[in-house]
Amino acid sequence: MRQHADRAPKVVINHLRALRAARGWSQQHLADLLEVSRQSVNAIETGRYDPSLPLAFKLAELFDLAIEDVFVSPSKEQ
Amino acid sequence: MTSDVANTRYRDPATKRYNRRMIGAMLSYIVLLIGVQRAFDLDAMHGPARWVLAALPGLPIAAVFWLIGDMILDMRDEYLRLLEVRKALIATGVTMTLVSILGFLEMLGGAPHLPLFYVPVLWFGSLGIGQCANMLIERQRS
Repeated sequence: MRQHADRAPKVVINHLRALRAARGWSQQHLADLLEVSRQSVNAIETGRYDPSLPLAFKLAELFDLAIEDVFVSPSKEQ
Repeated sequence: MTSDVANTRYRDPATKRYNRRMIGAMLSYIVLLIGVQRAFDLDAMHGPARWVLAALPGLPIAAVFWLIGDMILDMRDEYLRLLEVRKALIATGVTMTLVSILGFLEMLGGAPHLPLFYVPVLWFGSLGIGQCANMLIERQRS
């Protein structure tokens, strides 16, 4: 299916996979901690889905990090 | 029709509630359809009483659409909610396209009349197309 770059918002880059791997957590374990499905964690990690602010904050708090340490602001992307 | 959004471990309470209510709606549909057909001689009835009785089996079908909307609103998993919304939008688009073309085929092309009852049936079938589209879109993005 054709992508519409001008319609679809750019996905925010995140460090979720690296952070999760550093803690030795599986996607399923992280999903259980977040009370979401494993598909959701996979979709966020692979950049298919940007989480809502409440879920992004929950993620950051799980890793005991600031939200900017998990998600890269589009204005600061290189 | 049960929801297919839950994976092996995650069970959204909204989809569990939806599946339970859906069974009730389908049982009501069967009871009303058979009951109205058997308990009343509709041909012998006229006016509002006949209209009300004839419309009764449609109420559980209307309830199904309400249940789907209620489930989408109540889902806790926002990504799975997005997939459900996209699936329903695709099903709506496919159904509207098909019935528009069929309408013109009936009016101008001499095609046989399709009873309106089949429109929701088409929509439910189109949910499968929406599900396939979801899989293709997500696979392409990954």
